Amino acid sequence: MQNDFTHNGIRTHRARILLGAIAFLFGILGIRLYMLQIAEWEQYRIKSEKNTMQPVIVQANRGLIRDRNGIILVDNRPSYNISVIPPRFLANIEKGKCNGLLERLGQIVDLPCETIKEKLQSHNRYFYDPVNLKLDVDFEAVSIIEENRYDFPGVEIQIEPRRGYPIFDNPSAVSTEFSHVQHNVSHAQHNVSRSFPLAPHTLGYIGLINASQYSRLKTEGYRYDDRIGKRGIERMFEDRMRGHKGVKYIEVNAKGREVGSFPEKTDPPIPGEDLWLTIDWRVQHAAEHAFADSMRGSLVAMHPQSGEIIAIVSKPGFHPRSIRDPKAWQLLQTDPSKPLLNRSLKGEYPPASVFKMITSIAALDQGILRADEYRLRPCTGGMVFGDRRFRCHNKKGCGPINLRQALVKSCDVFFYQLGLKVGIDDWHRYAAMFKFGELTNIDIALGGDGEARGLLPDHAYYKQRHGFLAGGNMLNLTIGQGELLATPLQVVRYTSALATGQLPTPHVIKGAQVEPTSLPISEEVIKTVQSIMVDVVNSPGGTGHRARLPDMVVAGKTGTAQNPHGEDHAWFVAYAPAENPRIAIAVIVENGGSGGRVAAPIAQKTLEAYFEHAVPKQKRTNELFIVNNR
Amino acid sequence: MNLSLFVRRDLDIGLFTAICLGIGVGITTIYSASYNWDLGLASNIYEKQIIWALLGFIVMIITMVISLKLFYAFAYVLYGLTVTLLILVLELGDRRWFNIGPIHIQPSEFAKITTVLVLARFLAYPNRDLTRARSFIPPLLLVLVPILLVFKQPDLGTALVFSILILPMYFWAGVRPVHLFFLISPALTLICAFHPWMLVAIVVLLIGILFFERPRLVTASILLLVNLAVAIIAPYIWENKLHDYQKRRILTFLDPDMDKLGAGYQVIQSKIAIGSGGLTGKGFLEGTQTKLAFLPEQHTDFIFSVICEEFGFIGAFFVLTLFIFILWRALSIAVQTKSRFSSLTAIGLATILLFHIFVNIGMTIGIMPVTGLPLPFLSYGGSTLITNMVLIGLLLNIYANRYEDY
Repeated sequence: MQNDFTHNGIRTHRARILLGAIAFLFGILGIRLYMLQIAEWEQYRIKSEKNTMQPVIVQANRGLIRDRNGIILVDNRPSYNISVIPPRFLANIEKGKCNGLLERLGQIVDLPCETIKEKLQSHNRYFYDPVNLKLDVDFEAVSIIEENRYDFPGVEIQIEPRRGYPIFDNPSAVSTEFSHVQHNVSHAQHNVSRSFPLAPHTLGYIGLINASQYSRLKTEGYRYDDRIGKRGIERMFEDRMRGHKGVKYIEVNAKGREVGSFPEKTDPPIPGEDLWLTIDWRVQHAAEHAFADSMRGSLVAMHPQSGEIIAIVSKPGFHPRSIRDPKAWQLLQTDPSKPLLNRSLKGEYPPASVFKMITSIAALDQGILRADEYRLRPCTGGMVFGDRRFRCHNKKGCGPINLRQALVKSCDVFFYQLGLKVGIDDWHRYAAMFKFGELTNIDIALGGDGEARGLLPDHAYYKQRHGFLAGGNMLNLTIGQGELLATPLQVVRYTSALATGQLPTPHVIKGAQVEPTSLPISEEVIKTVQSIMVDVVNSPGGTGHRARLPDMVVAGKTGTAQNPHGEDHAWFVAYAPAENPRIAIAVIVENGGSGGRVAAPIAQKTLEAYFEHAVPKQKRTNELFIVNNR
Repeated sequence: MNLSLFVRRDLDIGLFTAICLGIGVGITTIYSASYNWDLGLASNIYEKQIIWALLGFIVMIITMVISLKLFYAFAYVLYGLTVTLLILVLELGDRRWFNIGPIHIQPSEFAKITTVLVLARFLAYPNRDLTRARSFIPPLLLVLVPILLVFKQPDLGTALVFSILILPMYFWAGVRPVHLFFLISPALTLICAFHPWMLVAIVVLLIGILFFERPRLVTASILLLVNLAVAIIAPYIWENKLHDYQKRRILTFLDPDMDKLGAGYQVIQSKIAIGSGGLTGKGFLEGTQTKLAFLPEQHTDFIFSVICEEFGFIGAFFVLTLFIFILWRALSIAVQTKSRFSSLTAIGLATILLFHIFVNIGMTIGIMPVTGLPLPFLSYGGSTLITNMVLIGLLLNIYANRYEDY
């Protein structure tokens, strides 16, 4: 048998072959070493003696982040770091004492001398690599050190590009290469006065690379003191935005001190790609302005046909630069209001009455009743089901009521009855058409920080959890309460689908468009629901009247989600103009109370800003014309 | 087991001495690499390496006294455990490491050894007919799992270790070299796919060998199809699917000179360091290249350059001889051992060592890509040293029990 393995002769034979292979490989190494060290020794010896050339990294400019019109949201600004090359610095100070050079330096950088010593000691791996003493120092300290260079051996000033937020840092200097929007920019300037840069959750931030990232990425050109995208867009598009570092060569003497340069050998850095977003900064700004910083919640505005996100707000906000201050960062991380959480993608809330359109669509599409039929029992302010009384938010009762009025007044008792008629299976089927309980696959969540899935319970869910589906569960679901959970992003996608009849895929990066999918619901039904949503805002006594715009028809729906842990969550969804929707919006204010009172005005201000800035006047009058001739 | 008896009768003195010498050279060189002229002292990493070495010897002794039957019996379990760890590290850890306090645990290090064990166990099963797919395919799947998981980290160097170690083990178990050629032919095609003449050459070679070998029609057609698919798809993906930065990453991997700042700079400086060492070297602590910090990563990946600069060709020759000796010991242990399992294990472990040595030294002299694989026993780093000591412990264990069969 050919592989009689225990036969020693065959083993020896194979071992000889393997030994031959080893000898061959080592032969290659040996010959190469012989060539380098013996044959070409002279040449390399000279190179080594003349090896006065040291490469210095030239950082590549990180790509900018621009809004849909090219206005710069995030750019790079120079910042100054004071650093020390330990051996050169330590050679000039007395051991164990805090006087002379150390003391002076300590005063300039405003650090106790013990801290400086600690920093120098903790970094003994790369001797000649500068150790940062203080980052982002002011220009005064820089000039003192520059002027007295020879008094500070081993102390260096390094310029490092930092992320800047021009609209926030320097509102009066917001300039643009796009002349047609320039007018609007200056118009909005006076009220740029917020405490945080725009959309910090979505744009994300960069921070110092950590040890394990470094060891994984060092082969890709990262250094241990590089900055890397940590969250949001900065993290997701790190590879596109970071660019490629350049290198220049300087001449150093035997002690490693710079004495000249080699300009012809410079390999310039390749700047990173700019990212263009679908966000419109003016709308974003207006939305963040309308949404007080003291509130918690989220706002997402989207172009309903294409899924382009126009504004995306999560409150409370934070300043991306806080990551550089460990104490401030610690506070942010432990803050009970979770300012770092991107609520638009990761906040899960019961959608409340906003969800009543699902029950309505299911009922209409299944032919259970027509929108103007008075078939269900009148509302008396509550309804007894099983051994419990389920209340209507209108304690006085809504009286005899049809579907249209029930949605406009958001009558709970009507929907309790309707929900029971529709049943959980059909209700679930229609809700699933709008992809509740499914990821939206927004481009900034894929492979990034992720998004929440929400929860759309079906019959099986209750069977598994409780063994059976109680009627009471269905009553809660039909008004968007109970176990049901959705993210603001899912809700705005649903609103868009109501506005257009098609379900778009939301995205933030310009050009990442995905074709919307059609809903298998009859056009008639969608039209009916749309007309009711117009009434919610525009009819007298409509719950959404605070979202009205003077020269345009807005369609919307309020929601007030009961919350066992405190005040109700306020919801409002809307789209406008009703006839030819250009923007869909969802607002939630945590513990805000009534949706119509709290959330609708925020939506209204955002819509107003959108039509003020983003839609050319000409077009608006045309649309108005259509709307008025309805 | 009585350890003193063990030491007197069954310790492979040669191998053990060689390892001690290697570690000694390593610590000396690390001291030199971290020595600073301005200060007149070295940083404390060589002390850390001494502690790691002591720990390593303890781990080695533990591995020496555990019965090989246990390694045989638990080969699949150990393999399963490390694969689970590889999955977990992707999900929970830092993709490559678990960080437990100051200690980083890198599961791919253990996975190398457990993969060798599981392959040895599968191939050692008596009467495996390795010309049959039923016996030939499962080992491939067994290595494919860790390859994919490690590749995802991403750690290309270690993924390559896994892909290489199966070849000599197959050979040792009786697979014919022609079949091994068939096995690696898609990889060869991938390399040749971007150059028309090379592609023609590899296709002619493959068809020629198929003609003379006359394998079964199914085998031959699958082989041709796979190679054809690789030849067509690889350039297509290159042209249409990869971003510029991804292409650049691959190109600089293959040709470090493209990246003057990163890998290319390291290799150029490393070559100058080695070449300027000459026959006898510049002397201990006298290397200018390393002292003036022209050479980064000198105590880890480029430790060999420091040896060459300070001890010259003689020093390099000594280190190469040491490694050849270690590998020769591993091979002769594989020949002498009665048990198929132990013998195959020894071959697999020797392959791991050989690949690390060749790729690391090849990198410092500019004939291999910069992968970040350390030089066994010499490079600074606790986890690799410990793993290598486990590996040596296993070899010594096999030697001591070479007359046993199970």
